[in-house]
Amino acid sequence: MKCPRCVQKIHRAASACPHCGFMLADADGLFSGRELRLRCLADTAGLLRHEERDRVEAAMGQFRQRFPQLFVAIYTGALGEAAHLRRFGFWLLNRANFVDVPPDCSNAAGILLTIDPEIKGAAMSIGYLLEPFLEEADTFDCLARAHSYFLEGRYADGMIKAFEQLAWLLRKRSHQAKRHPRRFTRNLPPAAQEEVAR
Amino acid sequence: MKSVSWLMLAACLASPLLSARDSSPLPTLSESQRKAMATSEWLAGSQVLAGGADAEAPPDLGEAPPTADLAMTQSPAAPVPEKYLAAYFDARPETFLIDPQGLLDEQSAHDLLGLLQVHAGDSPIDLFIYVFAKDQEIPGEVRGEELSERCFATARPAILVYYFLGAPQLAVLYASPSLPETILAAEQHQALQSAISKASQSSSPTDQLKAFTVQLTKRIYRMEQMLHGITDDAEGSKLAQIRAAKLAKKSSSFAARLARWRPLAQDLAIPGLLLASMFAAILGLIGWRRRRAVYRFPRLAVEPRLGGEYAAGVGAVISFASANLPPASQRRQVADYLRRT
Repeated sequence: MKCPRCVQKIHRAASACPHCGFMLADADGLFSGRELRLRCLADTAGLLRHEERDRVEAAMGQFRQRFPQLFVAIYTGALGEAAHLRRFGFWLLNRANFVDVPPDCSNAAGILLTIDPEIKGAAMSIGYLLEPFLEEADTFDCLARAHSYFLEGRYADGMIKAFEQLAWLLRKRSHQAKRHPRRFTRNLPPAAQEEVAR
Repeated sequence: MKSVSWLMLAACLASPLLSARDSSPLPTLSESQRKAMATSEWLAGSQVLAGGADAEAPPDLGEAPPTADLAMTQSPAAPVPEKYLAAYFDARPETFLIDPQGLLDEQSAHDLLGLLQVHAGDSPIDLFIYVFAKDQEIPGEVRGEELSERCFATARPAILVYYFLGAPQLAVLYASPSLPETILAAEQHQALQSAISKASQSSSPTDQLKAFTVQLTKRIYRMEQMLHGITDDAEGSKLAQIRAAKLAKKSSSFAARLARWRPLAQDLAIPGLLLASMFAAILGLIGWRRRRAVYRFPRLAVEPRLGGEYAAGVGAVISFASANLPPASQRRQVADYLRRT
């Protein structure tokens, strides 16, 4: 668990970063305080053509079929700084209202891929549901899989590859969570650990 | 100067006289030679061309009698006893060594027969050896050509040899009509000569026969090679038929082997098929289930952080600005305001 601003480790239940004091309200000030309504695939930078959009949406639909609890979202746009990518991911996942996600599925089950074509950066943010099961290195693996495609400007292919890698990782984690659930409760509060143990 | 010219003149005059004294007198023709020359029957210098004074006798231009005839003239020949004629010449022999008179000892006969059988196994041309005594004569009414046509026309191509024990030079070779004679004619003669010459190198009659046979089988092999190249083009040739027959024999033996396993295969076919189909069905089911599988995660109670209701987890940030650096080198782990520019 790291602060989206200073990338320092923070303890659980910290209402603000103990290192830099960052919190969601700061991000609201930076981007917008309003709730944002958008689709899961929000290509505001215009990186995808019509046919590519279809392919990416099909891959996102497949992902949803495999993992009905989860959803993936993509946002492309110019944010200005790489540091903003992190904060923006954190902010968007908390403030966005994804219109094409079933109402029973909260943003905590979301995985957001943010791409800034101007600064040539990409980030992956995850909600609370997956936090015990995915580590930062896992999200890096997904982005690394897409890296060569992003370099060539083949964003649609890169997105699909990143989701394929993510799906592979999540399948593995799902099996592991079934077999060894206690392994994923180390960073959880004691009450949650006791619940899993029961 | 004058003396020198006189000396030269004297030398010129004396030289013909000296040369006339050294050379032989000119040849003179006898009366008979004159007559022969007049009738163009005598050629001057023919003695020199014919090899000197000994060549005066007129050359014998008639054909030399065959070796066999010479040999026959050397010792009076006895005919093959009548009681053996049927065994020799009545039908196609059942063994490759025909020795009804028992001229060969048992061991030699056994060895030779083994050799001929091995040859028959390797070559499509069989070799039959008829053994006679050295001083025996084949009756006039028995002709080798007739025998080969009568007994060897329909079966495998064969070469028959009349071998006179102790006199390999008397051996006679016949080819069966199934072998194209025009192709074999030259090779046939050479093969026989080669075998005779090989046999002549041994002293004992049985060793001679053995050497003869070995050499002949080698030559037959060469004949076969020659014929093979030619007969490949000739459709329906005997050798091709034999090869086909050999192949058929091989395939029939394979079929026989297969037939031995067939009952077992029939017994196991249905259970095996069932097992294989079950295995395939299980694999298909596993694949189908994997494709249709749905993965779920337990909902664990994670305490909210930094004021975020749904998320606080920050994943990786990566830059794809440089194609020369690997993704790991372009991973952004440090906040921008902490990085040196």
